[in-house]
Amino acid sequence: MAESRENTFGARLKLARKMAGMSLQDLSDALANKVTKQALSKYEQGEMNPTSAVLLAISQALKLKPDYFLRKKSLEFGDIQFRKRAALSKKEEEAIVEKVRDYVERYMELEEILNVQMSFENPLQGFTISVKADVELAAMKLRKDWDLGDKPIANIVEMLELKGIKVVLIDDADGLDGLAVFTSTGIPIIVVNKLDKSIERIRFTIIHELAHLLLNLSVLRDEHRQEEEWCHFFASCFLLPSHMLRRMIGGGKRSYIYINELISIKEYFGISIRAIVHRLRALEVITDTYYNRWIVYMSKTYGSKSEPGQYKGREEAKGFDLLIARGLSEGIISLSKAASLSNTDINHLRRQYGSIS
Amino acid sequence: MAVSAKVEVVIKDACIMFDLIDLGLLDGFYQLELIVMTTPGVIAEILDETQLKQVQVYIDNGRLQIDTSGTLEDLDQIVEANPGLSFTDASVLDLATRHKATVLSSDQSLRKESQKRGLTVRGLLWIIEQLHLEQILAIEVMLEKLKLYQELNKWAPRSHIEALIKKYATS
Repeated sequence: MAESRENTFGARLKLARKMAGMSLQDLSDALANKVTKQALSKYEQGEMNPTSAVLLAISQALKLKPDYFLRKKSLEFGDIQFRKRAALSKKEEEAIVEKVRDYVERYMELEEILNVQMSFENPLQGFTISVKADVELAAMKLRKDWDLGDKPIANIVEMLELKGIKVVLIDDADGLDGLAVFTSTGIPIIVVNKLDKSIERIRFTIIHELAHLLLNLSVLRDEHRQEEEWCHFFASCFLLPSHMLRRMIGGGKRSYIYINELISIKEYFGISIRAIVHRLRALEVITDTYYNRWIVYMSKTYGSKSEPGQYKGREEAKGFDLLIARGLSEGIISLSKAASLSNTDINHLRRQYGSIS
Repeated sequence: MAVSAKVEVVIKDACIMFDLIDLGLLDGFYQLELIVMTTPGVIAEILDETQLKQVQVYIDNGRLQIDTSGTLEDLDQIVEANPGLSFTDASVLDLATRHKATVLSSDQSLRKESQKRGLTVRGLLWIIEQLHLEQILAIEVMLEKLKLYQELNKWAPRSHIEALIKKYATS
């Protein structure tokens, strides 16, 4: 028991330091040298045990709950695919991975306590993709298998959570766009950076990452650029099925399109005007020349990222909070445990959740 | 401390402390003849600077004793056996068990586990009633505090509060 805890603590301490991007010396400094670098190193090697008071001091210095260090098993990830906005250093990548690991571990611990673990099955397992057109068929198959019909999807994060996919929206990693990874036990995780992103862009990135998780793109033999393009295409088809776009824009070819038509589609389906116009070109509803004129018009009028109109829905994960509420109301978890799992303070939770007794 | 202790108490709940602060009863609580102990983990759960300052007064004057003797192995064992409890909850259970003390908590999970261990468990309503019985709170003030407790704390046990109000309002 003691030996397993020692090893657990050492391993967790190392991961926690990576999450904070701290060296042993940084951590010792943050502890006002109350714990030396050498002692910290011994903890990590499992050569020494911290007292509970030292554990508390370390957790405060690393801005983590003490329970973080008691978790017996660390979640193992498969191959992580980062989509970057800018170059990320190894240290930055490690910090992102550890933040995601911590969140998913807390989520899974909560599911385990409440006995509500969800398994995941990939409906596109075995679906062969040979050419780009197959990607659209895959998107339609997924909509069908998940009973989504052909209407807009209101809250993608919530929908994916109900399918057993963990979605993490972060806002503190400048260089990251998104990432997708499976845990060693087969749980899919999507991470999207929502910093400076419109809601339509967040929705698109989530489905783009979903494509990376679910599609078998081995036909591209790791052609990175084409892989990205096909995942974009999947996101576009999944968010806005072709027949629905054709129905809204008119069946045949179009010579001119009013911006208001595109705003209406954008606000209904939650997909950007740029993505809609791109799709209209792919569907040969508009010509390449007209498409290029649109892109220039958009940049000149609204800048490189902005657009008129806004999807009114919200993208947020509610599953975790619902489980916390259930655990508290049923008396399965204490308020202190709920605060620890939610990485928040008790006062906040006391105000958030009511109880009728 | 020269105190004729009637009960030895372990405060768990940072919540109980929050409630005492919100109701303006912290000072009255420390006038009760109790030995009050808690753990560093509980204090670490008080993140609001103003609340922390108010609690610090009683740590400094020795009315609130902080026990740091819990070992990580013991706390780890408690958490492992009770996954619905936190490290801090475990520290309170451990401390209460070692001192055969009363657990002061309004938390359902912690109360349940404490009772399972044969420990006495009390909550804020007990404190309020004691404050009246010890003549620290006049009956009118007690009734006022009970009503305020209902308003301020969504978690307050309404049926118990109403029963207590009924008991004293008619006396």
